[in-house]
Amino acid sequence: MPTRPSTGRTPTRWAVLALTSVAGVAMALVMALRGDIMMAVLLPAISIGYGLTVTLSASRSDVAAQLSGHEEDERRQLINLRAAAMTGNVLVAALVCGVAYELARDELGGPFTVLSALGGFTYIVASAAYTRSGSASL
Amino acid sequence: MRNEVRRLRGLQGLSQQALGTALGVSRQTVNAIEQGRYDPSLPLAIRIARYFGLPVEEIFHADEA
Repeated sequence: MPTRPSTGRTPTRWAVLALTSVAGVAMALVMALRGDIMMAVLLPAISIGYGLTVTLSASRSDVAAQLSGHEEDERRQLINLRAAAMTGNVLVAALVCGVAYELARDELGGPFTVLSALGGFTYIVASAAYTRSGSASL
Repeated sequence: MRNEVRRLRGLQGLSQQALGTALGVSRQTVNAIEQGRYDPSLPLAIRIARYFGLPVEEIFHADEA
């Protein structure tokens, strides 16, 4: 895995905060249009609060750094890969359960089946691609 | 993997943050390397060795079976 020296604070440092802020404003507008004032205040507060928390604590916490997209460090990239793989495994297990449910109800071809097929296809393509590209580009 | 990073860093009076900045990694990664919880990649190990002016083998000691 190549190690690219960090260049310090970069514009992408604020990307997660910007994204959560935009999402918060959007949610506030939607909730306000629906007349749900409490959610119009609560949802953006949660979204922007999350963005602020992970962005401002990224230098002190590996987990916050991961959540705020700070992966310039090789170790954090490895942590992200492992966490993504673990997440994928959990989701695959849930999908398998979903397919079993659809099979039991004679509903093969439903959402779980489609998502499982998409996941399997993605895994095959990704495995082939990374096999060809080698470890240098990971 | 046992290593001499903490000792060498101490000899130069560097903080983990300062060493991390010099190497292009986070303070937490320097800490993880010093505690043996993380083995650096080959490029990073070479950068560490060059930074301290020592061969890689004198800084990192592979565990013997």
